[in-house]
Amino acid sequence: MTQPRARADAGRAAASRTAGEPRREQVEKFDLIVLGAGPAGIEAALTARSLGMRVLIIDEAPQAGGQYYRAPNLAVQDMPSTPEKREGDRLRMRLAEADVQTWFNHRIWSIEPSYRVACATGIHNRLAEAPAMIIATGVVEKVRPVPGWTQPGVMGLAAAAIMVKSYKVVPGKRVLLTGSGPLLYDVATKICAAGGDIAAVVDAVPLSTWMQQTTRLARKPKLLAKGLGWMAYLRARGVKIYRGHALCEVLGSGEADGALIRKVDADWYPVEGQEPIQIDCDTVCYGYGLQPGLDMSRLLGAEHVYKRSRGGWTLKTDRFLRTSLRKVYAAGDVAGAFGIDLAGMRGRLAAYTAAMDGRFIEPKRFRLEAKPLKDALPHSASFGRAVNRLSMPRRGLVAFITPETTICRCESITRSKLEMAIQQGAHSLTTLRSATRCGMGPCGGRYCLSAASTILREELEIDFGDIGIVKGRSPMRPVHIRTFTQDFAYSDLPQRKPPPL
Amino acid sequence: MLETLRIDKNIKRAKLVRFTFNETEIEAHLGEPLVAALWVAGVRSLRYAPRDEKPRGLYCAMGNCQECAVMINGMKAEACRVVVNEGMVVTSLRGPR
Repeated sequence: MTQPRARADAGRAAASRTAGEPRREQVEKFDLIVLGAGPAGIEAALTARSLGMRVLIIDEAPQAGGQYYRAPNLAVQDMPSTPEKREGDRLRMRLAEADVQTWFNHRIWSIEPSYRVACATGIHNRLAEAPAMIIATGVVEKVRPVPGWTQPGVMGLAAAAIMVKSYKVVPGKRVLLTGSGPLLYDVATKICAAGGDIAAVVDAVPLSTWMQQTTRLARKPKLLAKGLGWMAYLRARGVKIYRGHALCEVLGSGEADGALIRKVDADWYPVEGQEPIQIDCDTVCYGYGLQPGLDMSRLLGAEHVYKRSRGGWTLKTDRFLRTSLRKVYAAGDVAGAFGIDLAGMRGRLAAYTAAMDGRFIEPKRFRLEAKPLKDALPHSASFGRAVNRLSMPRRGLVAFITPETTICRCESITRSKLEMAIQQGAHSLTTLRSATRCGMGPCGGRYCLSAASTILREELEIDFGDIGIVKGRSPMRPVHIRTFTQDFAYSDLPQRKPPPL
Repeated sequence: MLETLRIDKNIKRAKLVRFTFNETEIEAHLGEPLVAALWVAGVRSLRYAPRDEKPRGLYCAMGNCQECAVMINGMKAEACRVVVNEGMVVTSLRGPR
């Protein structure tokens, strides 16, 4: 029997099939697939192309740039330029001019070994294959539950940044910004500059902890100055800044309508005898620093390591950014959240290593051009390490999670339900997930599993490193059933001859 | 105090179009992220969680958390990954799946 010719457009392929024949999807082939079109992924793709590789770069956003260089939304026709917009436009321009295949608005939902990547775009499924991949999926925000945090009007600091930067919308009428790390002051400054009303900036990090990291932070004077600039700007605008205070509850009956904060000690436990302070606000934006986004590498079963200085669980690599998997490399923050400053350099280094392993370049050229990148990285990363140590959520935040507090937003699972399962013997993240469904909802555990780890740590008195992370499963994101079935008629369905009576 | 949450400082946007959310008509700019258009219109509760039936809305704004999921023309989609179009029909997800 002859197979129908595969077509790029799965929809058309469906139409051309004759009844009863299996669906065939064309697989597009490349030398290298880059997962994620942020600053690291773009540099990786451009470098790999310049070294002779046929490259595909995939991102679920409509345009390249990642989160930091996220383009303004499609309704914006003209706006005042900012340094971030200029640099983002420059990157997008370079990518557009290069001979690199770009799949935007493509959501990766599965990756099979050596290496076939399945993406959903609209209602179509699209497949790409390459012997090598660079994972450049950046970071996700660290969140810690508090009572009331599932109410509309509560969002991550990264979400607030996207609202201002890309949506061109102020997140609320009166906004409380809280958590830890530089994003807190960055977002506050952006909201303030846009004319928004800030109720307060509440930084969980006490001044003493800030002081401990100043020597390390001072190794990047420009970045340190940027941070101090944000703080000075906010103070000049009369924004109230609390240090050594943490969010303990979001008020409201359905939607956020105020918040309570409390003074915390060096480990972020509430200080006894100090009453909570009520903050009058309609929007609460909070987050506790950034951690590598490990969806792809967990699905592939790569090795990971827990390192506080890298932002927590991190994709394990050698110094040339090879992961534990054959011809899979890591670029940018996925190999340790060191920030925008190093993203491009880490993208280029991953591309050089991929090109050498694939014999696109000679070892001599690799030594000459890639080694300087490798040698520069450890020194450059010291600022990022200091930021990660500074913003890492401390143990005491667990004290704010009451038994009734929702931990898994998707499945509405509370702390008491998790504790019950742990007492019944669910002593690992995987068994806890199976026992309670925590992490089985549509978000895939991106937001609840690190919080669930903190509960395990309390109950079992073990470290995050021993708790581990769970293996990823496909589909990594919800995919519409029509992506697989396409539109079909009854006559398309394979019909078997009924057995003889 | 801002009159609108939309940042207007020298920003030129595409033309205004209309869409509906749970049968209420809302005006927004063509190509604006749906979740932003709803937010500016004061619509923050976008759905009700399947188990505790409590309201949910935008949380991550980048397609990770699935909290802003809505029904658009009969298909489930994240409001942060869809842009506004003329005549779009958007409804809430409500209660058990």
